[in-house]
Amino acid sequence: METPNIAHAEAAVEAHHHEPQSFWTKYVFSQDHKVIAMQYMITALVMGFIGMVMSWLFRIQLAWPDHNLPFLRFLMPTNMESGTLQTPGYYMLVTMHGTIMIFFLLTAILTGGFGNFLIPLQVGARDMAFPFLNMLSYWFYFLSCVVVTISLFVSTGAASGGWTSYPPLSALAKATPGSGLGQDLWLVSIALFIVASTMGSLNYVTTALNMRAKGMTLMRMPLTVWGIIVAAVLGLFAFPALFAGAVLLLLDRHLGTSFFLPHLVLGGEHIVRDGGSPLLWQHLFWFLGHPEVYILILPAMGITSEILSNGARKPIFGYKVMVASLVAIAFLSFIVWGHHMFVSGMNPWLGFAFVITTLIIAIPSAIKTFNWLGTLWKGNIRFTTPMLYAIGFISTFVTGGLTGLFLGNSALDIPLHDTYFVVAHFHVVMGLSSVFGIFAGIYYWFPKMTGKMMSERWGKVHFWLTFIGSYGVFWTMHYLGFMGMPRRYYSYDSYQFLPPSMHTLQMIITISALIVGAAQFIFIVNFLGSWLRGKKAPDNPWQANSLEWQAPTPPPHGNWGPKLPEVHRWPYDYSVPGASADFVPQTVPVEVEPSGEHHSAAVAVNGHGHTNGHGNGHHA
Amino acid sequence: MVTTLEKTSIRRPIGPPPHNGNGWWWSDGDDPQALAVPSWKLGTWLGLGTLTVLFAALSSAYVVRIGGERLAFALPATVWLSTALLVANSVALTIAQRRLRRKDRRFVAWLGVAALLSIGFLISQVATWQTLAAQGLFFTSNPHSSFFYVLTAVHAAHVLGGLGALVRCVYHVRVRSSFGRLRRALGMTATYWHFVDAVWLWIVALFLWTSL
Repeated sequence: METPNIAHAEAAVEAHHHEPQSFWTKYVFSQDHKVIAMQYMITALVMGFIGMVMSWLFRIQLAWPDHNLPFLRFLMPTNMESGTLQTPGYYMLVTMHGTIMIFFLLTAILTGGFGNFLIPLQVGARDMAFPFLNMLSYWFYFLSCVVVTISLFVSTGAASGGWTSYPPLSALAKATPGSGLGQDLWLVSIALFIVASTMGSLNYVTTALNMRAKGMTLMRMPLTVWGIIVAAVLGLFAFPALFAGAVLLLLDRHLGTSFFLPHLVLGGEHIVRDGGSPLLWQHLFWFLGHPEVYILILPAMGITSEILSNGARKPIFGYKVMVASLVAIAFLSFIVWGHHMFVSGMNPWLGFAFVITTLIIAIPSAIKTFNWLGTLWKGNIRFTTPMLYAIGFISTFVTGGLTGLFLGNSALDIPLHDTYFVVAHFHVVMGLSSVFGIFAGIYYWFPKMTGKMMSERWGKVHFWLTFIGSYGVFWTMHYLGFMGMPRRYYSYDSYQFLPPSMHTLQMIITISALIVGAAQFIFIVNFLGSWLRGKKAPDNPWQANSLEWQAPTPPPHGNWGPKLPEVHRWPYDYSVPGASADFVPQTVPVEVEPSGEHHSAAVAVNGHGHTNGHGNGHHA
Repeated sequence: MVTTLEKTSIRRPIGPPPHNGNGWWWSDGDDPQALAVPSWKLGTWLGLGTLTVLFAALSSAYVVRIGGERLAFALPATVWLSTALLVANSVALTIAQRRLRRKDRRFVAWLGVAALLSIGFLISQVATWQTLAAQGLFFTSNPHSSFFYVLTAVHAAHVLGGLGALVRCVYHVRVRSSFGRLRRALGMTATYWHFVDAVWLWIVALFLWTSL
């Protein structure tokens, strides 16, 4: 068996002698985790932008059903012929918005982007455990993005049966236009995505467990790493269920099997299938689908914890409980999938069991919220842009979590199911929260990734517009849900039970959504502009403790130069009484005085090298 | 420049003591860099965990779909031949691993035996499918036959992957890779094959169970 020391030594030698030189191996088919992280991040942001533009188009339809906006035809050449969004186009946009946002933006950027960049740097490794597999992971992801983008341009349109792709709609090519080639491409791209995610997740878990620098015990790992690897484990054990479902659905579509298809009459024509169960798909889908939302939220929780502690200049409150609650949420997420199916038809006793497991998730979630507030309590808070986003995360997570208590209860879910209340709930708790975590992370680690600072002023403008605008969208949506307004309808003109005030709310939502959309251009300009001509970033601009800030900016190939860092403490030593600065990096040794009754420690703060962050850009 | 602060003032009010970052559920001890398992082994096991969920999902879909209905056909006799071939394959790989550990060059011959056994398995699989087809049992005939074809085909795809892994081991021999590398390649391959063989036993047991 190879010892880890030898592995590290080999890596050190490799870092010096095998740095890729050609453009192709350095920036395109790179095996360097930092390059792969940027590839993941930028691809995911581009996909997210596409998903956001889709939401504008269907929001315009919902607020002004009789709109006539011919200039939008350049965004949507088909299904918008007369300047009005047509029904098939509406369903296609809603479906692809969900698919792109959940898989191709949020999952990809949180695990592929942040996981790749942060895990080796925060545990003190030179790269991932399996760099080749890592490269393969990105290129499979890229391929899945290409396939899903192509599906937008096929003549019958992209998949339009919802991001959940329930059969029979998704199983019969004749059911809707999007159920044709578009649905096939959807299934293929999801299968490719699952392969990519699996290869990435293997790497994240193995690297974090096995490539840690000397002194980096599991209980000294930053919570970001914990959040990402717990999410990676969820991915490893949840995604295969959807893969199996996708294989069976493709067979139902093309080889005439009856896994999900019962005997049906479609347009007067008998479909020659027998006995298949659409519910079976729902079980397979949601066995992934529920852990999937935690794949999105756990890394964002980790990022938030990290930034809150740094911004409050206080140790994270209850570190071990934070780790334990991450693991508890992950475990529970595997036994709650039935709460998505309360009205699909299930034994009430089974529903009851799912209600109990679902509501139990409130306990670890509340513990985490309590600990975040405990971290902020009496902190010397620096309201930087990443910090604002981290605080915004707590806000949206609490708001969305509370509505989760309504929906997790089957008695309340029956009237609320498939209304806008559900749309509001999952967008706030899973969409907004993870987006806020992502923005917090981008603003926070951008200096380390690129060597440049992002503009704080424009960052704050971006935050406030996004924060207030998002609440304008989703707070309002809850009221529509209470009115009983069903989701997934193209037009609400002919429903007597909906009061006219509904239209006012719809317009408020759409205007807020467009404002949030406009705010993202500020982010794009800030991101690209700062990268090109931003202020040069010091090594440790946030005066943070974790290892990545002790590496040069931006970190070179192999991250650490000839010598690996050595870890002596946890990453949350902020405002240690008596220390010369209000932060003590993980690499600073602790001298323990062996004599005397009270074992008191002396901190030796190393004033040279990278340990004490010469760039104090954010001193009060 | 090293500044030593007054020792009395360094008290940490919150969090674990800085000089003792021991784990909570388990302790990392003095050498915290890695778990006791090498990375390649950890990666392999995690990957097999993923594949376990894949086959578990397909199997439970089968059980749910048939809803207690009995298997409508008898398993062809070639299923037992397939089973014997895969059990033998696992044995051959174990022998190959032992030979390699003793630095005995003849382990390559056992890799060849394992490859032949797995090719034999694939031939036996094709025969099984042909027997079923001859009885009029096709892919779409009934849920049992549908799932039989799906499970065995997905399994066969993994057998092909295993053959690829064996070829990779032979490649390592050809290019005279280091002993450590060879052991690692064969270790991964053998672990993977034991898993694929166990999945086969599971599939057979599943269809025996539904024919009860």
